[in-house]
Amino acid sequence: MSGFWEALAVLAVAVNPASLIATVSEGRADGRAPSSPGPYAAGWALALLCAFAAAVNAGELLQALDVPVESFRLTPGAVLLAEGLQGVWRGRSVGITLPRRAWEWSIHPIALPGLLGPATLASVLLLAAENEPGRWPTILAYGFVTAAAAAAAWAAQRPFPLWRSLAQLTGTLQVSLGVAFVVAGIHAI
Amino acid sequence: MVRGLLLTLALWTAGATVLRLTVAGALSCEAPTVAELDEGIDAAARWLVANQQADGRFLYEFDRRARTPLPTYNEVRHAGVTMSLYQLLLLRPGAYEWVRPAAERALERMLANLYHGEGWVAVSEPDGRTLKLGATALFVAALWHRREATGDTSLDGTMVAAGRFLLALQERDGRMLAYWSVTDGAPVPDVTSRYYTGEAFWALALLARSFPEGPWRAAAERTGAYLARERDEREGLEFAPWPDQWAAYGFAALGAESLDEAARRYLTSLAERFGFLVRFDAQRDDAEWTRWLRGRPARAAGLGTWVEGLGNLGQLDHWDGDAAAAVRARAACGAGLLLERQVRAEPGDEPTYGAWFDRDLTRMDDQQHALSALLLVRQLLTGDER
Repeated sequence: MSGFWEALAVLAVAVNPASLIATVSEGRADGRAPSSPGPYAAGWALALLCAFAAAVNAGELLQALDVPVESFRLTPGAVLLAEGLQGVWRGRSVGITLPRRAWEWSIHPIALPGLLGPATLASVLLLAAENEPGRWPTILAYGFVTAAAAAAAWAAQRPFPLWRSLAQLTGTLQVSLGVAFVVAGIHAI
Repeated sequence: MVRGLLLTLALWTAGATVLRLTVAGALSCEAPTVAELDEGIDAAARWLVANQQADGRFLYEFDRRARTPLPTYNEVRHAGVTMSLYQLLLLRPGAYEWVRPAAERALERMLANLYHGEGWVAVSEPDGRTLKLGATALFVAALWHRREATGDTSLDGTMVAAGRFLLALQERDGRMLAYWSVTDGAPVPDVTSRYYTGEAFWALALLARSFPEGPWRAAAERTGAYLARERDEREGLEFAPWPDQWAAYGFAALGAESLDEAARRYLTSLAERFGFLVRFDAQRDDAEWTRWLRGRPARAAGLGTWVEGLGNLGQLDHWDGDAAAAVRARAACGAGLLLERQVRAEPGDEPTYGAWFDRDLTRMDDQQHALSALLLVRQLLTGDER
């Protein structure tokens, strides 16, 4: 698997777009979400910017923390495990709650941590710091996942049970990915 | 909203702190310079030499709090320390001639206590009832390093005879029996040792290098295959691979050209295990909370063996670029940890200077394994050929 596709697969699981879409669409049905795309766009742009900053500086950040990449694999592993179990149980990510006022949508918390929760941030850091896939494929893959999730969330006009089921399914993948990262962290020189 | 943001921020901070304290702890090790390695090597060798007795025995164990040596001894470890001193003479030619008399005294003690069997010799045990595979294997390794370091071949006959004792304890599938019963005049059946098999493998591989026309290479390859394919499972060693630095020594002595697919997989898994152990140990320090979370730092006889393993694996032409760099980095990290933990505050205070203590106790194999580890890392970092 090339670096980009590897990053895309990992980030699609870590972000869990289905969970985000379920939350947004249920919020719309309650009549609380804003109707214009502006707040969403602003929030997602902020998430992208943070992910970009994390990915560009991943190597330096881990170096400053004195944590080699091999050991850092345990971190997204542990977080994905915890978040995945929560996702399977609740059908949504632990960090996603709906704001009450329209202006809140631009900053909290649907984009952060919805699109850049602990598991996603840790995964972005890891993928960007690894030789494969590396910094730029990770950024590109994250942008792609974010754009797809944004488009799907905007298109979802009303609650649909499928999104929650998909979110739970992705939760199981998060658990598997978490285990894989932990194993990779242990099975590293 | 502000409350929500603060709550989120608090959760992130708490989560990051928990991760930092558990799985993302800092590795407190730095790759040493060659000069720093030399200082550590010098101090460790001085401990061994200064604490040797007139009969060739080394100070076995010392309690620095009570300032007393502990009254016991172990012939396998004696052979190991002797090997380590000759390894120093071989890998640093001309630099440590003051070590040679101590190594020779230690060797003479073993030569004077050899048991002579039918066509073979072995290192005797004080009880006179059993002969240990490990002691004779490390005796062979000591003789081999002496031969290479000095060019003196006068003990070749003894080395080959000791090699024949190893063959007497080897089973057809490469498994090595751990003991020979003097009383029964036969190997003790079905008893193996997690240490001795690798030691014997290494000794056989060394014999194969010096005497290519003998049975040694085939014998070494048999035991190498046993180690790589079935030892851990058959001997009930859980969480395979058992971190066997002697196996790494053996495969390094045989060379990369002898490795089949199973051996390559085994060596990769060994490197991963040594790497993990060093990384984990590098997250430990003297702080109470790290002891509570991660346990005490490993004693030098443990950490040293992991670094010896990595040092040997790093010599093999088996790794791709990333893996080779990782092996070197982890070996250097382990050497940095060893140097950090070595007592060097009081030169001249022989029972402590140059030693590694664990809960105020040091044993001679702490110095042996740490010395060999520092030597191998020096070799790895400077690119010296063995």
